[in-house]
Amino acid sequence: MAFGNLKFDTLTTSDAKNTSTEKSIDTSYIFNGVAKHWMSATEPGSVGDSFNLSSTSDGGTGLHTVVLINNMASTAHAVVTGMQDADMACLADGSRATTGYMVTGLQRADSLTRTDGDHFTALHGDLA
Amino acid sequence: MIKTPEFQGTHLWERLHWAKENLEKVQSDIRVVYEDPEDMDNPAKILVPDPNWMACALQGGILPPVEVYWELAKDEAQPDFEKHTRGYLLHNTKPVEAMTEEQAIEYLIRKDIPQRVWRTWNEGNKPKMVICRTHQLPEHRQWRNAWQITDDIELAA
Repeated sequence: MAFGNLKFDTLTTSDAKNTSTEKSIDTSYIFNGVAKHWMSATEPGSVGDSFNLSSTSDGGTGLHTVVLINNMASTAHAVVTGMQDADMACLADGSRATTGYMVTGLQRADSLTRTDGDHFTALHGDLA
Repeated sequence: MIKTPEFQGTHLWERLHWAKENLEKVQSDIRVVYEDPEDMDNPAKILVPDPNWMACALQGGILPPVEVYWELAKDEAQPDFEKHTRGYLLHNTKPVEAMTEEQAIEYLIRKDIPQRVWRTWNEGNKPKMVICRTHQLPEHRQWRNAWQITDDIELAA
Protein backbone atom coordinates (compact mmCIF):
# COMPACT_ATOMS: atom_id res chain seq x y z
CA MET A 1 0.00 0.00 0.00
CA ALA A 2 1.37 3.37 -0.94
CA PHE A 3 1.07 6.41 1.27
CA GLY A 4 0.34 9.84 -0.06
CA ASN A 5 0.92 13.36 1.18
CA LEU A 6 -1.26 15.08 3.71
CA LYS A 7 -1.03 18.82 3.27
CA PHE A 8 -2.25 21.07 6.03
CA ASP A 9 -1.17 24.30 7.68
CA THR A 10 -2.52 23.87 11.19
CA LEU A 11 -2.71 20.94 13.58
CA THR A 12 -5.43 21.26 16.22
CA THR A 13 -6.31 19.17 19.25
CA SER A 14 -9.45 19.41 21.37
CA ASP A 15 -7.30 18.45 24.38
CA ALA A 16 -10.46 16.82 25.74
CA LYS A 17 -8.63 14.63 28.26
CA ASN A 18 -6.84 17.48 29.97
CA THR A 19 -8.18 20.99 29.62
CA SER A 20 -10.90 20.67 26.98
CA THR A 21 -9.41 23.80 25.55
CA GLU A 22 -8.60 23.60 21.88
CA LYS A 23 -4.92 24.00 21.08
CA SER A 24 -3.42 24.60 17.66
CA ILE A 25 0.04 24.58 16.21
CA ASP A 26 1.15 25.82 12.83
CA THR A 27 2.93 23.11 10.82
CA SER A 28 5.58 25.61 9.77
CA TYR A 29 6.35 25.96 13.49
CA ILE A 30 6.96 22.22 13.63
CA PHE A 31 9.23 22.37 10.56
CA ASN A 32 11.14 25.35 11.90
CA GLY A 33 11.62 23.73 15.29
CA VAL A 34 13.05 20.35 14.34
CA ALA A 35 16.79 19.70 14.21
CA LYS A 36 18.10 20.27 10.70
CA HIS A 37 21.13 18.06 11.26
CA TRP A 38 22.42 15.55 13.78
CA MET A 39 25.48 13.37 14.11
CA SER A 40 26.66 10.55 16.33
CA ALA A 41 30.40 10.00 16.05
CA THR A 42 31.60 7.12 18.18
CA GLU A 43 35.27 7.14 17.25
CA PRO A 44 37.65 9.85 16.10
CA GLY A 45 37.55 10.11 12.35
CA SER A 46 34.35 8.14 11.87
CA VAL A 47 30.63 8.75 11.77
CA GLY A 48 28.23 6.24 13.30
CA ASP A 49 25.07 7.80 11.96
CA SER A 50 23.88 11.21 10.96
CA PHE A 51 21.44 13.36 9.05
CA ASN A 52 22.33 16.22 6.69
CA LEU A 53 26.09 15.64 6.93
CA SER A 54 28.56 15.32 4.06
CA SER A 55 31.81 14.90 5.97
CA THR A 56 33.74 15.47 9.13
CA SER A 57 37.38 16.44 9.22
CA ASP A 58 39.48 15.15 12.08
CA GLY A 59 41.66 18.18 12.81
CA GLY A 60 43.73 16.70 15.65
CA THR A 61 42.98 15.49 19.15
CA GLY A 62 39.45 16.52 20.06
CA LEU A 63 38.82 18.70 17.01
CA HIS A 64 36.26 17.92 14.32
CA THR A 65 34.95 20.07 11.50
CA VAL A 66 31.41 19.19 10.48
CA VAL A 67 30.16 20.03 6.96
CA LEU A 68 26.48 19.95 6.00
CA ILE A 69 24.82 18.86 2.76
CA ASN A 70 22.02 21.44 3.01
CA ASN A 71 23.56 24.71 4.16
CA MET A 72 21.92 26.72 6.88
CA ALA A 73 20.45 30.07 5.92
CA SER A 74 22.74 32.06 8.20
CA THR A 75 25.47 31.57 10.75
CA ALA A 76 22.96 32.30 13.51
CA HIS A 77 22.19 28.64 14.07
CA ALA A 78 22.28 26.74 17.34
CA VAL A 79 24.49 23.69 17.81
CA VAL A 80 23.76 21.35 20.71
CA THR A 81 26.70 19.16 21.72
CA GLY A 82 27.32 16.25 24.03
CA MET A 83 30.07 13.83 24.93
CA GLN A 84 30.65 10.66 26.88
CA ASP A 85 31.00 10.47 30.69
CA ALA A 86 32.55 13.57 32.26
CA ASP A 87 34.01 14.80 29.00
CA MET A 88 32.33 17.68 27.29
CA ALA A 89 31.97 18.83 23.71
CA CYS A 90 31.86 22.49 22.79
CA LEU A 91 31.54 24.59 19.71
CA ALA A 92 35.06 25.65 18.72
CA ASP A 93 35.57 29.38 18.84
CA GLY A 94 34.50 31.34 15.76
CA SER A 95 33.79 28.22 13.73
CA ARG A 96 30.17 28.72 12.74
CA ALA A 97 29.44 29.00 9.03
CA THR A 98 26.35 28.26 6.98
CA THR A 99 28.21 25.18 5.77
CA GLY A 100 28.69 23.76 9.27
CA TYR A 101 30.68 24.15 12.44
CA MET A 102 33.65 22.84 14.40
CA VAL A 103 33.25 20.90 17.62
CA THR A 104 35.95 20.33 20.20
CA GLY A 105 35.99 17.58 22.83
CA LEU A 106 37.36 18.50 26.23
CA GLN A 107 38.52 16.34 29.10
CA ARG A 108 38.08 17.58 32.64
CA ALA A 109 40.92 17.20 35.11
CA ASP A 110 42.43 20.17 36.93
CA SER A 111 42.07 22.01 33.68
CA LEU A 112 40.41 21.31 30.34
CA THR A 113 42.43 19.54 27.67
CA ARG A 114 41.32 18.42 24.25
CA THR A 115 40.40 14.77 23.98
CA ASP A 116 38.99 12.26 21.50
CA GLY A 117 35.85 10.28 22.22
CA ASP A 118 32.19 9.69 21.44
CA HIS A 119 30.56 12.98 20.61
CA PHE A 120 27.06 13.92 19.55
CA THR A 121 25.63 17.04 18.01
CA ALA A 122 22.40 18.45 16.68
CA LEU A 123 21.77 21.69 14.88
CA HIS A 124 18.73 23.93 14.94
CA GLY A 125 17.98 26.94 12.80
CA ASP A 126 16.73 27.91 9.35
CA LEU A 127 17.84 26.09 6.23
CA ALA A 128 19.08 27.85 3.10
CA MET B 1 18.49 -0.73 -6.95
CA ILE B 2 15.67 1.60 -5.97
CA LYS B 3 14.93 4.35 -8.48
CA THR B 4 15.52 7.92 -7.37
CA PRO B 5 12.42 10.10 -7.79
CA GLU B 6 12.70 13.17 -10.01
CA PHE B 7 14.09 15.53 -7.42
CA GLN B 8 14.91 18.71 -9.32
CA GLY B 9 12.86 21.42 -7.61
CA THR B 10 12.42 19.39 -4.41
CA HIS B 11 13.99 20.90 -1.30
CA LEU B 12 17.34 19.24 -0.71
CA TRP B 13 16.44 18.55 2.92
CA GLU B 14 13.39 16.57 1.78
CA ARG B 15 15.61 14.56 -0.55
CA LEU B 16 17.80 13.68 2.42
CA HIS B 17 14.73 12.38 4.25
CA TRP B 18 13.98 10.14 1.27
CA ALA B 19 17.57 8.93 1.20
CA LYS B 20 17.59 8.22 4.93
CA GLU B 21 14.49 6.06 4.57
CA ASN B 22 15.42 4.26 1.38
CA LEU B 23 19.21 3.92 1.10
CA GLU B 24 21.67 1.79 3.04
CA LYS B 25 24.63 3.64 4.51
CA VAL B 26 27.93 3.14 2.69
CA GLN B 27 30.98 3.24 4.94
CA SER B 28 33.91 4.20 2.75
CA ASP B 29 37.44 3.42 3.89
CA ILE B 30 38.85 6.20 1.73
CA ARG B 31 40.30 9.14 3.65
CA VAL B 32 41.71 12.46 2.45
CA VAL B 33 44.67 13.78 4.41
CA TYR B 34 45.38 17.46 3.87
CA GLU B 35 47.37 20.35 5.24
CA ASP B 36 45.98 23.84 5.05
CA PRO B 37 48.66 26.40 4.05
CA GLU B 38 46.81 28.99 6.16
CA ASP B 39 46.93 26.72 9.20
CA MET B 40 50.41 25.22 9.15
CA ASP B 41 50.81 25.28 12.93
CA ASN B 42 48.18 22.59 13.25
CA PRO B 43 48.48 18.91 12.30
CA ALA B 44 47.26 17.36 9.07
CA LYS B 45 43.49 17.03 8.85
CA ILE B 46 41.67 13.88 7.83
CA LEU B 47 38.47 14.17 5.83
CA VAL B 48 35.97 11.39 6.55
CA PRO B 49 33.00 10.95 4.18
CA ASP B 50 29.66 10.52 5.87
CA PRO B 51 28.09 7.10 5.11
CA ASN B 52 24.64 8.55 4.41
CA TRP B 53 26.14 11.15 2.10
CA MET B 54 28.13 8.46 0.29
CA ALA B 55 24.91 6.49 -0.24
CA CYS B 56 23.36 9.59 -1.85
CA ALA B 57 26.40 10.11 -4.06
CA LEU B 58 26.40 6.52 -5.32
CA GLN B 59 22.64 6.55 -5.84
CA GLY B 60 22.58 9.69 -7.98
CA GLY B 61 19.82 12.22 -8.57
CA ILE B 62 19.95 13.62 -5.01
CA LEU B 63 22.94 15.91 -4.51
CA PRO B 64 23.31 19.28 -6.23
CA PRO B 65 26.35 20.01 -8.41
CA VAL B 66 29.37 21.08 -6.37
CA GLU B 67 29.42 24.44 -8.18
CA VAL B 68 26.22 25.35 -6.31
CA TYR B 69 28.12 25.22 -3.02
CA TRP B 70 30.83 27.45 -4.49
CA GLU B 71 28.20 30.04 -5.42
CA LEU B 72 26.83 30.01 -1.88
CA ALA B 73 30.37 30.26 -0.49
CA LYS B 74 30.93 33.37 -2.61
CA ASP B 75 27.80 34.92 -1.12
CA GLU B 76 28.88 34.06 2.41
CA ALA B 77 32.31 35.59 1.82
CA GLN B 78 30.79 39.01 1.20
CA PRO B 79 31.46 41.42 4.08
CA ASP B 80 27.79 42.36 4.38
CA PHE B 81 26.53 38.77 4.32
CA GLU B 82 23.71 38.09 6.75
CA LYS B 83 21.59 35.37 5.24
CA HIS B 84 21.55 33.22 2.10
CA THR B 85 19.14 34.48 -0.53
CA ARG B 86 20.11 31.96 -3.20
CA GLY B 87 19.35 28.77 -1.31
CA TYR B 88 17.11 27.84 -4.24
CA LEU B 89 20.27 26.87 -6.10
CA LEU B 90 20.52 23.84 -3.83
CA HIS B 91 16.97 22.80 -4.58
CA ASN B 92 16.33 23.84 -8.17
CA THR B 93 19.58 22.96 -9.91
CA LYS B 94 19.55 19.60 -11.69
CA PRO B 95 21.02 16.99 -9.29
CA VAL B 96 24.20 15.15 -10.24
CA GLU B 97 24.04 11.65 -11.67
CA ALA B 98 25.28 8.56 -9.82
CA MET B 99 29.00 8.62 -9.03
CA THR B 100 31.55 5.92 -8.37
CA GLU B 101 33.15 5.96 -4.92
CA GLU B 102 36.26 7.60 -6.38
CA GLN B 103 34.20 10.27 -8.16
CA ALA B 104 32.29 10.89 -4.95
CA ILE B 105 35.52 11.50 -3.06
CA GLU B 106 36.64 13.96 -5.74
CA TYR B 107 33.31 15.77 -5.40
CA LEU B 108 33.68 15.82 -1.62
CA ILE B 109 37.19 17.23 -1.83
CA ARG B 110 35.94 20.07 -4.01
CA LYS B 111 33.00 20.65 -1.68
CA ASP B 112 34.43 20.29 1.84
CA ILE B 113 38.16 21.03 1.60
CA PRO B 114 39.28 24.65 1.16
CA GLN B 115 39.99 25.50 -2.47
CA ARG B 116 43.40 26.87 -1.51
CA VAL B 117 44.33 23.28 -0.63
CA TRP B 118 43.02 21.23 -3.53
CA ARG B 119 43.55 23.74 -6.36
CA THR B 120 47.32 23.72 -5.70
CA TRP B 121 47.60 20.36 -3.97
CA ASN B 122 50.79 19.38 -5.80
CA GLU B 123 52.60 22.72 -5.77
CA GLY B 124 55.38 23.43 -3.29
CA ASN B 125 57.89 21.18 -1.56
CA LYS B 126 55.44 18.38 -0.93
CA PRO B 127 51.80 17.54 -1.67
CA LYS B 128 49.25 19.34 0.48
CA MET B 129 46.72 16.57 0.05
CA VAL B 130 46.82 12.77 -0.16
CA ILE B 131 43.99 10.31 -0.78
CA CYS B 132 44.52 7.05 1.07
CA ARG B 133 42.81 4.11 2.76
CA THR B 134 42.20 3.88 6.49
CA HIS B 135 44.82 1.15 6.91
CA GLN B 136 47.45 3.59 5.62
CA LEU B 137 46.87 5.97 8.53
CA PRO B 138 48.74 5.49 11.83
CA GLU B 139 47.19 2.73 13.94
CA HIS B 140 46.95 4.76 17.13
CA ARG B 141 46.42 8.42 17.93
CA GLN B 142 49.02 8.86 20.65
CA TRP B 143 50.89 11.49 18.61
CA ARG B 144 47.86 12.71 16.67
CA ASN B 145 48.76 16.38 17.00
CA ALA B 146 52.11 15.74 15.29
CA TRP B 147 50.68 14.07 12.19
CA GLN B 148 51.95 15.58 8.94
CA ILE B 149 52.17 14.53 5.32
CA THR B 150 55.67 13.17 4.97
CA ASP B 151 58.18 15.06 2.80
CA ASP B 152 59.22 11.98 0.82
CA ILE B 153 55.79 10.54 0.09
CA GLU B 154 55.56 8.47 -3.09
CA LEU B 155 52.46 9.32 -5.09
CA ALA B 156 50.66 6.80 -7.26
CA ALA B 157 50.35 7.75 -10.90
